[in-house]
Amino acid sequence: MMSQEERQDNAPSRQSPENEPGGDESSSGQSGDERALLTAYALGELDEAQRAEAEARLHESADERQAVDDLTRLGKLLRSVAANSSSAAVDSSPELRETVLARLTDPPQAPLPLRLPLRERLPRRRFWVPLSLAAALAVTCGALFALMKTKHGERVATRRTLSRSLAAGAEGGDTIADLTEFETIDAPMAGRFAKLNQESAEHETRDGKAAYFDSYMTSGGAMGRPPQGAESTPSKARASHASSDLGAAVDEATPGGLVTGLEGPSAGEPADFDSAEQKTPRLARDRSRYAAQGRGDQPGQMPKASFAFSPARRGREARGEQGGQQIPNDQTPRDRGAEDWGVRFEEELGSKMRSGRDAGEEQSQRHLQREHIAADGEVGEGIGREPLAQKQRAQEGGGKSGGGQRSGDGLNEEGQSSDAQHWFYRQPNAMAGGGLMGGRGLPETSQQGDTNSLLGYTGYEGILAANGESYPTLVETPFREPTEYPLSTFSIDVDTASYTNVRRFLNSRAMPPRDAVRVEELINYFQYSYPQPEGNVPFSITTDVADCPWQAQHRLLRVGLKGREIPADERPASNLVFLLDVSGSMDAPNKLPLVKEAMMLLVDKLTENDRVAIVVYAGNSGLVLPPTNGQNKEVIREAISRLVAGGSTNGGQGLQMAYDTAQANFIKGGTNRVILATDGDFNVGVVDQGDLVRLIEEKAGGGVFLSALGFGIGNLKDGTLEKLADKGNGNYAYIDTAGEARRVLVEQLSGTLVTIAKDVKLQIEFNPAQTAEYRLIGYEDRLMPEQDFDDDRKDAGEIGAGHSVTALYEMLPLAVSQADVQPLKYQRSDNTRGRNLTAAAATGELATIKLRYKDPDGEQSRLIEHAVTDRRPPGNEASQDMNFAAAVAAFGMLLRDSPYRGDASYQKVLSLAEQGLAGDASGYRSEFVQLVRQAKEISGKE
Amino acid sequence: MAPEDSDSRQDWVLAALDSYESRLLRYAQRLVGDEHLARDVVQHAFLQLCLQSPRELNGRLGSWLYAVCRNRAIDHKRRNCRLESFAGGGEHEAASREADPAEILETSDAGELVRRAIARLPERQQEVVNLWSEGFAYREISEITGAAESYVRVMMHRAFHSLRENPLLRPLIEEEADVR
Repeated sequence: MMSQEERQDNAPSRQSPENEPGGDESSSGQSGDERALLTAYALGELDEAQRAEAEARLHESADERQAVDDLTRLGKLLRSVAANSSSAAVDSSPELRETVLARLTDPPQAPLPLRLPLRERLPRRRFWVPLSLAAALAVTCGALFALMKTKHGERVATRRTLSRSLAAGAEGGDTIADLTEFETIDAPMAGRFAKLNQESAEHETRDGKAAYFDSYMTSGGAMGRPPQGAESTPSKARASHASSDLGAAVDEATPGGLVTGLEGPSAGEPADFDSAEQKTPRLARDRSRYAAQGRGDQPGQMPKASFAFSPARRGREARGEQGGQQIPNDQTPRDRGAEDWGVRFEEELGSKMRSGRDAGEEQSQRHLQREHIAADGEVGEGIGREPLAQKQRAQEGGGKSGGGQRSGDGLNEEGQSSDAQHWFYRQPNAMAGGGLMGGRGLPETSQQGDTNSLLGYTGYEGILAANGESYPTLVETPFREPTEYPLSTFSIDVDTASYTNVRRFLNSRAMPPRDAVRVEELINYFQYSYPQPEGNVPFSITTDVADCPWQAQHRLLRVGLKGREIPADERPASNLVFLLDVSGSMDAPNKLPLVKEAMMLLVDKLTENDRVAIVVYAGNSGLVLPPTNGQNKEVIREAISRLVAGGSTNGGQGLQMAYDTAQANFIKGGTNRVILATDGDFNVGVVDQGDLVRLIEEKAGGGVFLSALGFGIGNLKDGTLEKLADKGNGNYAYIDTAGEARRVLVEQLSGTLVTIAKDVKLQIEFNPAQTAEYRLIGYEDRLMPEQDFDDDRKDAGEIGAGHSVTALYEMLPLAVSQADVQPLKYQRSDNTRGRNLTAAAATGELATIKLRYKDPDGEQSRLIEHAVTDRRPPGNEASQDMNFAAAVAAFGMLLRDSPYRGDASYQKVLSLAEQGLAGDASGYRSEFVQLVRQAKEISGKE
Repeated sequence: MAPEDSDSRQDWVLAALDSYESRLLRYAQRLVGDEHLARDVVQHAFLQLCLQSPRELNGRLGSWLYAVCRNRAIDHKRRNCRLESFAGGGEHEAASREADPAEILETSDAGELVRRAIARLPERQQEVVNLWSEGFAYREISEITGAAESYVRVMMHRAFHSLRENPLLRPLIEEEADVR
């Protein structure tokens, strides 16, 4: 599919290279791939009209907005890396300089032959025609032409253009855009340079990345800059100020940030690379922008933060007086957000001070995040109240002030500051035209007057904003063609934390954040009726194919693994070290008290074979219970009941101590495990996750595994815990209630404690003769490169006793995909044409499942292969079990608002799930049905 | 006035040399592989520049130099009968691989991760992405590569979306949001 499109795109560009700048590229670009528009938007490559169009589209989809944010960041990242790598650049050679100088002083007698061969050799590049014509002209009329081109004259000309643009900019802001185009080339470097400078000038290490950015400094200087850039710089600095003033409209006082910025260079003079004199004005400008941002970024200091917004706020007040002005008008939605933010911020500050926690960097993240949400929500509400007027205004914002925004964008591009999350902090002019941000609240919340989703949103905001949970972003695996990607490889995952976490959100009447929903963890929360393994294989493999409930004609492949059950009394001896987070953040009813309750439950199950120790970590780490035999239940209970929360967290130190304790009491052939119970906040001391992970991996290699239990609302760093457990050959469970504690630590104790196979990897090869496209549902963060499947050094997931793992693939059968395709005369019209299919492709097999695992103490992996054939004709009833798994998957996709959810609805999920209720002894499935109802109600969707 | 003219031209070319030489060397080296060849390519570009009118190239000096380098590099490659290169086709060869989650943790060098991720893109996309990363806008990339701007746009779109979906880069993208 991709490749065909590719050819289409490719062809015209080859045949008509004159279809060049200024041509009709914009329209063909959109028709070719309209999503390319948004990418271009994210990268600041659109002109005004197109930008309005892009923004209109962004209004419609939260996914798109997320994508645009990501792409903007990605763009920044790429440009910074490119600039960074220049420090390792190839040396420039003095010889070249000499050669060039020689050529300049002694022009070649016959310059034309030099160019002509070039043109002959490159007939396609008609780009060259005007250039070489111009060059020829330049040579023939050389002297005359160049006479007019004194350096002075040039500068004057530039100045003139700039000041003209400036004047125009003051009226409409439109031409400012042209201004910024003057030197997109050197700007990123300079911007980064300035940023760096600003950072060092402030002497603030806001995060551990200071060193990382230091390298930018070098590169920024090393890059040098083109001459015209240097010349236009002073005027540009003015331009930027002019436009920022414009943005601030009638703000009487110049924002402090600008003043600081202008004065700044002397404070933190750049490590001089070339003429600092030339660089200064630019620095001043960039610095001023960054100064303003920097302040916004420092939530710990109220005055600064409020500064960042004051212009905007005042701008709005001013709007009342000067109603007709465009820019203040445009700012309206933003201002509301800003004011709202101010209030929230004060609240947060208060609560932070009360809790007395020191989490500088995190707080700023948190607060950015919530500011984001606050803006969304607030704008949305505003529009809800006066839909038309506001909407129009927002549209005006996109349209009229396009110029202003453009200048903002242009500047961003140069300054490399176009971080979506920071837009808000930017100088008012950049904010003014921010149709993107301004419009962010529009779609979900208000355009259709969807008050329910607004509710959902505020719920989410309420929880997230009041706390600071973080979830790594998941990008769902797209459909793949077996011809291009025959193999799908991933590591198994028995974690179930996401389900519990989702449950917590829904029970508190809020929709979970989409990245908190990991579909595979939802699916794996439930037990399915897979048979017990036979022989000495540690688990059984079950496969099943049925109609895909959410996408007509698609098929669903289920691959199920079931680990061997180990009865509680046959559980091998255990050496358990609990590593408990008793920091201040754990002082909540659903945290430490729940941990204690969970441990009390576990104590009941311990036997004389087991040994338990407890290490706590907070400001200091300590061994509060030395390794104790499982029979001494009273001693253990006593120790547990003494636990109190207080102090800050140093996960690293505690972890080391826990490992040392476990190592000292190592039981050969038994279970040796550190069980980490925390809300996920490692914020003092060794916080380098890399170090933690290395330690954990090393210990896992030595036979001490790590499991993580996540507790509580608010601080949960979901991704961290999952990663740690993953590296530690353990599992990760989220415990929200005593019931869940019971499930993890009592009912599934063997599974939690006893690993029956490690490094379990699945690789599925799809038969292109059967399947046109396939998609793995979930497991996004478990994907592996195909070559790692056979590489025993590569870590993968573990499976505990009695655990089951289910993976679902959605497939588009080849027969279906070919149904509407016209037959070709000369070649096979299906996507297998031109492929060398083996004889096995004709067997009708759907796929082959390969599975590798190691014994818990083994080093060599074993391989199991299993071919799947789709025997169930389409339209046939799927098994109840399969339906239930599909229901859970669909539910996850609904919660994630997945682009692949098809026509899934809560109603459909309910009807599917209810079929799977039979034999639900544990009641977990009934609970699921309840959750779906709740989600349906909260979201207000069917 | 004639000497003044040649002086200003000389300043102009030398300034361009200062600004672009090492960037172009890197670029050329990426194209032709060999450092020596790369120097040839860059020298050619600057000698060509000596013949150009500063005014004609005003505002697009960078893209002009890159374009000359690129064409020269293609020439070189053609002459050396290594036609497989970036000049044509090549969309299908580099099947991007799903990244190993372990790799994410192993390599902390953002630059290395990014380069690795870009290297997995189809060659056409690599070129466009690399040029963009160098600081060129779509229009300039289109000037450099001779492809239509719409094509650049689509290539960038594809490339950026694959990069975005690359688990290797995911933490970096998030980090980028948190930095500062």
